[in-house]
Parts: sequence; C-alpha cells; structure tokens
Amino acid sequence: MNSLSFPGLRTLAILASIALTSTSSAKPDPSPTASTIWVTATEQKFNFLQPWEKTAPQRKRGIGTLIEGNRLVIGADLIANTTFIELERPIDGAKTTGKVIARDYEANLAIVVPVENAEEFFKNNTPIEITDNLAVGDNVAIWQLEAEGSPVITSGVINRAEIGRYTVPHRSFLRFNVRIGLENKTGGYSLPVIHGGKLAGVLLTYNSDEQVARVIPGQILSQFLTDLEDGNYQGFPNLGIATVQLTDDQFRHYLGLERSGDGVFVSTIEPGSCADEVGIKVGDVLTSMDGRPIDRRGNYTDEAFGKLGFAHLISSRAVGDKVKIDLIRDGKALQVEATLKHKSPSEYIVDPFLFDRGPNFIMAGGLLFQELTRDYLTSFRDWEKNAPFNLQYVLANPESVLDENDDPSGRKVVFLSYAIPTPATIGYERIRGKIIDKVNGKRITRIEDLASALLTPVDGIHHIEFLDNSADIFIDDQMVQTVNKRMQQSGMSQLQRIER
Amino acid sequence: MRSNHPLFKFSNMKPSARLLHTCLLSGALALSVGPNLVTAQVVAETTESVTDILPSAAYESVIKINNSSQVADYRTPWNPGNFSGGSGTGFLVGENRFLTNAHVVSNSRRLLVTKHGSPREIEARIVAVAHDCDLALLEIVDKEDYKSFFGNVSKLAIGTVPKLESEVRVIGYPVGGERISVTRGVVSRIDFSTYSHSQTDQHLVVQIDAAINPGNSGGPVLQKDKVVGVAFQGLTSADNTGYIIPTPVIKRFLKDVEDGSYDHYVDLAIDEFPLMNPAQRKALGLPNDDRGMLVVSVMKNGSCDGVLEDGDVLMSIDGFPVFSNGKVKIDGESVNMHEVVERKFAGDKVKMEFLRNGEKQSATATLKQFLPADMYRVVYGVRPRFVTVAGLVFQPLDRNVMASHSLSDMDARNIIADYVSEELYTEWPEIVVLTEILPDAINTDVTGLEDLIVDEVNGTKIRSLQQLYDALYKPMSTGKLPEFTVIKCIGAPRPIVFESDRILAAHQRIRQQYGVSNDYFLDYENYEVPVAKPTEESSDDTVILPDEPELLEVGE
Repeated sequence: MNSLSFPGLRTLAILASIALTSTSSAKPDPSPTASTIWVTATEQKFNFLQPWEKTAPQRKRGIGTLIEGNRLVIGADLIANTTFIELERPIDGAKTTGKVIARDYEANLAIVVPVENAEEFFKNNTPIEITDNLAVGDNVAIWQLEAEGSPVITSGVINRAEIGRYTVPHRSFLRFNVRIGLENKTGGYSLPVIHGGKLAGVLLTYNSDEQVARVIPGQILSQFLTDLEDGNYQGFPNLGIATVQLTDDQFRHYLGLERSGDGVFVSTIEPGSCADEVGIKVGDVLTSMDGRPIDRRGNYTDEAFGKLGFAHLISSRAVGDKVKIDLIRDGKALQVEATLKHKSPSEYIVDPFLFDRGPNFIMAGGLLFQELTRDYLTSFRDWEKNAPFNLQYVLANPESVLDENDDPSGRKVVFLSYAIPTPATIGYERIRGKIIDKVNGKRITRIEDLASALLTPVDGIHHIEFLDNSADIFIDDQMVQTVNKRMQQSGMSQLQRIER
Repeated sequence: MRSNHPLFKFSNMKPSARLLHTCLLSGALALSVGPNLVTAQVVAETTESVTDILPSAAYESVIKINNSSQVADYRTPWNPGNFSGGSGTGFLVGENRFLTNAHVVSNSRRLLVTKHGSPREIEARIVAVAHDCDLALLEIVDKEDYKSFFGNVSKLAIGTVPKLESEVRVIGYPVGGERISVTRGVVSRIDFSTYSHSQTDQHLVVQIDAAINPGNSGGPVLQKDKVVGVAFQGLTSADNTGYIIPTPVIKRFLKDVEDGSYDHYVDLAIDEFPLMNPAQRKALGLPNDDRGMLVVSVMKNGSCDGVLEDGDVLMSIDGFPVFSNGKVKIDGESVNMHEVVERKFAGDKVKMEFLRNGEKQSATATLKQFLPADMYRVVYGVRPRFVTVAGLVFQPLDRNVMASHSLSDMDARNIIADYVSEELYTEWPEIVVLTEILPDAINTDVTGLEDLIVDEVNGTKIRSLQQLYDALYKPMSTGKLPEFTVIKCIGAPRPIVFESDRILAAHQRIRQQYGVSNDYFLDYENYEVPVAKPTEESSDDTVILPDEPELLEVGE
C-alpha cells in the first residue's frame, strides 16, 4: 500500500481555521482526529550493487496511532532506512520532528515519538488502548484522514485469521484478513484498525481489487509492547524447523503411523535453532505442543480463530518460555521441552534483510568485495533469473558454505561482486559473484577477516582464492593503494563499510 | 571449454541472440513468417550477370526439400510425436550427394525433393547429419531417378571464405512464392557465433546483408560460380542480417563424413583463465611478455585428461604461440586458441607446450568429442526415453527435457550447473528427473515434488535411467516386491512412498486413463529410425524437435 500525496495550499488554509476552534481543555474521546498523527518519513535506500552509494530519497506517509506514554505505533516499513521523520497533527497542521525508539522489522512494528516536548505536542490528543480480544467475524473500523484532517471511518469484518508473511521473507505471524472497501487517501501506511473504540491492529497491505486488508493483529501489537516494557527487547521466538503435511496414507503407513492420525513430518532443522538444541531431528513427526494436538496439515485448533498453523503456538510466546513438544520418532512417542529463543536477523549467514545501514563491503583497487545479503540478490532486475546463481543457491542453502568445524554463529559469506576495470584488475573483468575462500592464506568467514587479511600482502601481492575451483587471482598492493586513492578523488564517498 | 554451454550457469538459459531458423516446420508457426514476406523476392529469371557462367546454370543444382516430420513431445514421451512439416533448400555437391542444413531435415519421417522447373517430387534420405554444425547430406533414394534428373547437372564447387564487402547471391526456395528465388547482399561480418540449431555450439559464421528467409535454409550462397556458404539463420531483432555457414565448416563436415559417418566436433575439454594481470604473472613466476594461458581445470575423460594438469600454463598449441588473453595468430588473424582444434577431427593429435611448476614441457593430446557436454545440447531425431510408475514419469535430463519442464528447484539447478564443471558426470552418467505426475488415487498426496532429481530408490543410488528401471521394474518381474517402494529426490522435503501392491493395482488404470502406450522406453536399440540409412551413428542423431520456447522457428 503506497498512497502518498500531500495537502495543497488550499487545504492548509482550512487547517488553520480548524485550529482556532479546537481549544477545549477536556480531552476528547479517541477518534481519528484526536488519536492519530501523520508520520512522514524520508527513506533513503542503499544501493546494494554499488554499496558506497545511497539512492535518491523518497517520502512516505502513514498514520501513527497515539498510545499511552505519548508514543505513536506505526508499521516498521514506514520508517525503514529513514533519514528524517516529521510528525504532523491532523487537526491543526502543527509539525515536529520525530524519532524511532523501538522497531521490529520481523513483526513490522515500530514506536515513534517527538524528539522533544512530546507532552506539549500531544496535549490535545487522546491515547487509545490496545485490544487483543478479537475473533473472526468481529466488526472493525479502519481510520483514515482527509487531506484537511477530517476523519474517514470505514467499517469491515475480520473474515479470516491465518499465519503468513508480513514484509520480510523469513518469518510468519498471525495475520487478519479484513473485508473492507477503503478509499485512497493521503498517508496510506499503517492505518489504525479499531474495534470497540480500541486499537485492534495496524494495516499491513490493502488489495483494492479484492477489497481485502491484511492487518497486523492487536495480539502481535500487545506482545511487542509487553516485550518492550523492561527495556530489553527480545523479539518473537521461533523454533527453527520446516515441516510437510502428513496427509499421505501410504507415507503414514511407511512411518508406522495411524492412517487417520495427527502430526506433521519434520523436513528441515535450522542449525543452532531451538529445535536443534532440544534434539528434534529430520524425520520426526510433530504431534502436539503444550498439549495441543497438531493435525496432519500442521494446524491446531485455536479458541478464537479455529484452525491455525502451529507456528503461532511458538511466536505467541515469549523468549525464555518453555514449550513441551510431543514427537514420534521411529514409531515411538517422546516428549522434549524447548526453551524458546529468538534468532535475530543479523545471526543468519545470509542476512534476510538489511535496513538502516548499508551492506558491508571493501573496495580494493577495483575489486568489489561484499558480504552476501538477500537484498543484494533481489537488487537485480528479475533477480531469480539474473542474480548470480551460485549466490542464490547459498541463500537457499546457507549451510553449504560451512566447513565441518565451522561455527555457524557469526559466519557470513564474502564474495567478489565484480571487478571495475582499473590498472590493478587487468584480466579480471569477467569475474562475477565468486565466493571468497581465502585471502593471503587466511580463511575469510566475514568482512572483518578480509579487512585484516588485506593488511598482510605477501611480497607486495594479495592472493585471493575462491570457494569453487576457479583460478586464484592476485593483485598488487601498491597498485591497490594508488587506484583506491584515485577512486576517492573521483568522488567515491567511501571505500569500505564494516558495521554490525 | 571450447563450447559455449549456456547452461553451465543455468540462470543464463536464454541464448545470447535471438536466432531464427530460416527454414522449418509446422503450419502453426507460419504466421510469424509475415514480416519476412517483404524481402522474399522471386527474381528467378534475372538476366543480370555477375558470374562467369550463366547465373541460371546454378539453379539446376538447387533443390527444394519438403520435410514431413514428427516432433516428439517431451511432456508425453510415450507418444510418437506431433506431425508437422516444412521446407528448405539444398544443392548438389557430389555424386548423388546434396548438402543442406541439419534443421531442414531434422525429425524427418519423409523427405521429398524437387528440381528447379520440374513438377516431380523425388524421395530422398539422409546420408549423414551433423547437428553440432547444422549440416546434412542427402541422397536420392532411387538411383535411376537421380540419373534422369541430375545426371547432367553440374555439382557446385565449394570455394573459400568471402572477403568483407564482397557481393554474394543467395539462391533458394523461401516463403513468398513457389519458384526459385535469388537475393544479393554483401559480406558484412566474419565472426564466431552460436549455431541456434543445437543452441550450444559456436563456430565461424559469415553475416551478410541479403535477406535470408524461411525456406532459404540449406541453400547455396554463391560468389561467381563457387559456393561460399550455406544460408542457415537470421536474427529476429535486426534487419538485413542473414547468417551463412562458411566454407571451413562445410569442408570440415564433408571431410568428416567421407567415411560414411559423422564423428562430431572435438574439444580440448579444459577450463582456462587469461594471464594478463602483472601481479598474477609475478606471483606465478612468469615474465611480463604476454605469453601463456592458465589451465584451471582439465576435464576427466576429455582430450587433455592425463596430458595437461590443473595449474599448467599453456604456451603453444600445434606450434601456434598462445597469448595471455587466450588467443593465437592464424593467417594474421587473432583468434581464440580453440580454433586450432576447431579445424581438426576425432583421432587427430595436437601438440602442446606448457609450463609445469615453472618447467617447460610438451605433450601430445589425441582429440575426441567431450560427451558429458551433450546434456546441454538440443537433440533431434531420437525418441524420448522415460520410465513411468504409479503415474510418476521419469526422464533423463537433457536440453529437450529442460526446455519442456521448468526445472526451477535450487538443488536441481545446482546439480545441472555443476554437472560438467565439478565433473559429476564421472559417476553420474545420467541425471534422472521426476518430470510429471499423472494424478491418480495412488499419488494424490504426492504433490510439489515434480521436477526434482531422483537420488535413490529403495536405498539404491540412481545414476542412470536404466538403474531406475532396474530398481522399479525388476522386483515386479521377480514377484519379490518390497512392502514399500521408496523414492528419494534431491532437495525433497520427504521421500515418496508407495505401498508396492497398490502400484500393481494402479498400473493398468493409469495406462488406460492417460493413454500411456508404453511403461518405459530405455534405449534406441529397439527403435527403428524410419528415415535415413540406418547406420549405428545416425540412429543417435537423426530426427526430432523439442518444444523450445526460446528458439523461434519459422515455418512455411
């Protein structure tokens, strides 16, 4: 959802006249005008193919909903890669600069506050409570604002709860589908979803053809805010397994299971995950969690939502909680107790997404070394066809780069992206997307290794070895320094980025 | 590697240029001929003379070829294929020997040729066909027919490579009319380029600005009274570009088939890297003199296996110095060093000088075709091989199967990409893919597992279609069926499991429902190629056209 336009001059005049009339001292009831603030964020993305650059800035506008503590709840996609945030009171057009104090890109939620004088800025606004007492069939309203600040309230119905993706690819959460006909108004991001005068969710996307809004439910919102309370945000836990349905009678028979029984087949275990630590194995059959039976399609029966994917039984809990998991292994039942944890995005071998900082890279005399991220691959036009296939394979099978005694934590993939033609890179112009194994004899497991390896050329020459069996390449250190200097003089703003 | 295998990096499956076969096939495609009609002029009775003999003298030697073909459908490999047809051109080069393009006669069931000015269609057959350079040699079946129609016709002589900017005539039977057509153009470029017929092989081509249109394929391109090329392909994205197969390729083909069979191009089967970087040369202890190419890997079972080693620096080949950019100088032209091999035949020897651990050495390699690379080639004229069981269809992987099924699975793509470069072929003669599932009660829960590579059946590794057949069908014939038949695919989240007695029960039902006429087809031995002189070799490479969405073929 991307509707962005800004009020014209005529509208501003009207806003001014409204401001004169709204000076009552008692706070009004929650309403679009009383409880929402326009949030305009300027986003500047990083260029993953030329990582020393940022792309042209873009403005996005959404609606922040005021909750207790003078905080605004918004969708995290609104403030990703932001350079400047402006808050605007719809009622009188007053503006102030905002800042992000919490964000979770997996759950696509963030908290924004005014940089200063929050109390003063929100003095005529009313915070709204959050509800997670929601079920399929409930009526909800979605709040929007006209350009001059007057409310637009549209009602709809929650017609489905499911487990699905938000905005990043590697996690799934509880999600509502709301049947509703929304108009296109200024500031389309993170519209508040209201039930019984309380905040029941935040709009994720809206499909105008099908008239279906996807909504981050109040449940996820409450969990996010509860997690924030002690100042030590942990994130939503995950188990680290993939499963397939067990609807195939012949396969069930082969596994020694009852034909009509429950359970799903564990097909993948992520190394170092909860599931791995507690000893769940590929081939196990997962039959229940905390006493809730999991059916042959991988669903349990939720009191409020009916059939729901078992992932919700994990992500709705807190990091550190214990969950009893029933399994069948080789025809025998067993139970394990997992202590839930959260794998943060930066712990993945290939970062599933990168916001608010650019990709790590080192430019050495025209050789561009980068750390592999999913965003690098998706930056290619028609990426599944055009991005280097060997790197796509690593995205799908990150363990494939690990040595037997490699520690997967902290492991990244450093690759030679391409060689800019320079006096140092003669003969290397055709190299693309090759994963680095060693530089100057030292194993490269992350960009920091490369930075230190490049300090020790042998006889003034750097020796680069690749993971596949292609030819080693060599570059002259003196030449690298000369070319680097020239690149800086000609306007390359930075020659490396090493950030965690 | 000599050949440009676009599939080594499977993501680049699209051929580099949109090449178009100027002959061929299928009424369904006839509409795309439209734009070409403008340039197809029939100027048969021209009186202008640029030749020493009367220009029309050559017309007698040019034939129109009508091909009734049958094209296998790799989605339903048990079917004999779709009937279609097309026409092209050919010309007399020797005693009852007509030269044309391989693609004009591919997948042929019946070939009829017509002489200029004659209404009579005469039956012909293939003597030899080379799909890797798109050439074929035909003969008239009935010797008497040949004598009466062509006894007094002069054989066209093969000349040399035409000079840039020189004028050529293209003679043939393109779309736009029934009678012979002549167009003129000048030679605009001489280059190496991909031959779209196999989509893999690169050879010398001559680009001319004369219109080459559907039906022109296989026709002679003349300069004076000599053949300087065979018209064979055009470009869809550009005007006035026609491509002809030049004489070195023609002569090589004619020489190769002198013994009655075609032996294919040979390949050094090495992977190399230029040695142009001063730091690289210094590190490898080489002087800065622009000589030598790094041998990165020597393919097992290739021509250079046991002759060169990984890490050697190749200094000369057949006496031609190899420069650091991988080029050699032949006749004053700087060309890729593999061109030295391009002109040679299977069994020929090539002497190489190289540096090994800084020491100068020399050795001789005996050249041969590099068979593993065949997986990346389009094949013609063969019946698709397959095995079915319980509605599952398995096929050995080749370019035709790749083109008719979308092998988008990561693991499958990875194995295909590594098949040659990582030498997987040494222990994996054939990659067997589960290409299709014909829905039936027995397999209704086997979903999302299509287009994966088979790894094992009942614990036995599957490395060829025959092994798969043995693992699935042998237990049936002995009556010693295991309780379960377990098929594991690479990258699959779970194995495919059947209760073996249910396989037997489902067998007839699935065959009938889906019209599967055979349970399997394993090899060519039992299969009679209905056209052509049935030599052992030609049974391997005659006939057939796959569904090739990238290959734009234009029929008439």
